[in-house]
Amino acid sequence: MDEFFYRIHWRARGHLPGGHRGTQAGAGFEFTGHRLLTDGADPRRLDIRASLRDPFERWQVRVFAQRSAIPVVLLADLSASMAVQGRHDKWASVSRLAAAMAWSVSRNGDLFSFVGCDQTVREDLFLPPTHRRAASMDLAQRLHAARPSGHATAAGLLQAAQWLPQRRSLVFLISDFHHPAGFTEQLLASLQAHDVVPLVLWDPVETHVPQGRGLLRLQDSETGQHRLVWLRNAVKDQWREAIAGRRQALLQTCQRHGRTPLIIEDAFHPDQLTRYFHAAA
Amino acid sequence: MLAFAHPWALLLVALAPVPFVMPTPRPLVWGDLAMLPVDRASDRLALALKLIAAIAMTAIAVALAGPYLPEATSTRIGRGAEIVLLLDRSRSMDQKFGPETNTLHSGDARVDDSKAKIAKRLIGEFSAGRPNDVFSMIDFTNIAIPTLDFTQKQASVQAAIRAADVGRGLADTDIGHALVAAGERYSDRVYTGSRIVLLVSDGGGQIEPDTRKYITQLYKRNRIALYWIYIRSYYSPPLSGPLDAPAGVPTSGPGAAVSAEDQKAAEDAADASIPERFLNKFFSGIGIPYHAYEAQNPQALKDAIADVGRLEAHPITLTDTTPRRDLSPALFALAALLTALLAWAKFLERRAWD
Repeated sequence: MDEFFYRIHWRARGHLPGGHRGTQAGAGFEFTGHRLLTDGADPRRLDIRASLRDPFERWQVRVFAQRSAIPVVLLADLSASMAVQGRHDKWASVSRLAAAMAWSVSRNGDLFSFVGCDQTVREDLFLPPTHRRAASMDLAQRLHAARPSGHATAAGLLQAAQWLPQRRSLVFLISDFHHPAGFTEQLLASLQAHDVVPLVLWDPVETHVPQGRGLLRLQDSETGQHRLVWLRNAVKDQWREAIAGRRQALLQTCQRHGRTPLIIEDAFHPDQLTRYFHAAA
Repeated sequence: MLAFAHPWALLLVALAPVPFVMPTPRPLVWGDLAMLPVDRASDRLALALKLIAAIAMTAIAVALAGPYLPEATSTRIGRGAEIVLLLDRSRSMDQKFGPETNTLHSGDARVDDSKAKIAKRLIGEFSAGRPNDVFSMIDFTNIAIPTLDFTQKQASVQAAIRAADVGRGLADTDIGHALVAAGERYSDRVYTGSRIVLLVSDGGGQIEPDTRKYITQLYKRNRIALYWIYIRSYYSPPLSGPLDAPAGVPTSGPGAAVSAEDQKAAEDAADASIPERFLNKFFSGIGIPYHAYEAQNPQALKDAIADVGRLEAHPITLTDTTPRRDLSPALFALAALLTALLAWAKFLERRAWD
């Protein structure tokens, strides 16, 4: 099973024990301060030295913060462009990533939730926050059957915030970010309450200008429009600039909302995520 | 005016907008076209390819309908004489001039050819030398076989002359009948220029008195000039003058000292009994322009051509028939060219990523 490591740099608010630094006092190793025994603290953590040091000779008890579980949400763009077959199959990457994430999250003791959106939020694919280990298998199967087709856009992503947990969660937003201008900005703003990790799924075909010359007959996966591109040097230069410009704009937008995006340009591998979180720490 | 052999195929023209309406099959699916640079040259090329496809489909549809310009007649003013070629196709024309060694009467190295071949060559050259004249052709044996109506088209004339020596001639010769047929050619034609009957024959034949009378009337009424190219072979008598024909022609007594009177009498007798001489005399007496050429050498032919050329060249009205013209090959060619262009574009097209 694919597995990756992730961590957060904020304190988890939940009371469920888990793997992240939390705010809840409890059975942890992270010392947060002292309390008076008479205030109802756990007598097993009685601190003799602190009590002796107390000029008022009161019983001091050590207080620790427990490590808590967080909800992890995979928010997936299920628009038609996510099923485009370039050098790699994007949808295969999505399925693999979803399965790896469900597995890693449950291994970490966190809650996993899946929200998929095309024109609307896909209720049939919605997975509420769960500890269930089998969820990863289940999800992989359902995603396999739900390969996007037709000309669906990703407009439903803007409603996705209502389907996320109330408390701050780690949200992986996977998309190709081929959205109309301003859409990404609007989407990230709607998810402001959460820690959003943008996972940008691009294909080498999209990030590199095609080699050679000739004619390219392209069809937009979402609008269905046709376009003939006459590949020649002038066009290729413009194209290269367009790719660089789009990447730059996306980086800036995401950084304004707190996180550097992880750009997956080749086939997905879980280690990419691990490296991303190590680098971010 | 334009007409169609299968007009129903024009319904297929309705398919012409298909390239504009139907998306091209099997494009490469692309995530977001808005990302690509806008290139007007590409857009124009796309439009041009669609137009080419539409035009090609239209061309095929119209070509399938079989468009043609129907047969049309047009009137044209030409200048020259109207000539009926009257060619003898009797059996005797299939024979040769005479002993192979004798070039005296043929006047030509090609003595080995049959008389028909030589006659064919003679009138072929004659008509080729007179491109402005209108020709008609009649072959004759015991009947007259019209092979060509009046036309100025050299190709037709030469083809008719070439066709004249196909197969073998018939046994009989009815020169009177042939002359009547040639003369009647002019009967219902407006007089527009000099009229000539060019008789090519190797011999004559008797003509009955009634026919002679009719020929006289006919040729006078129609104002026809008669030219006779007499293909004289080794044993044939001359048309006029002293009978100094080769030995074997029984005209004069052997070894006799012939006086001028005797000579004259012999000639008159020959004129009455030998068909060629008789014909020559008859033609001379009709009262129409007449000339006989003894085709013994090329010079005689040149003389004939020059004589006809001296005739006044009146403007003549010609009715030309333009044949039906089929336009579909041109359209098919256009469609093929355009389709080749499309195929080339298809060849340049990338079918897959790398």
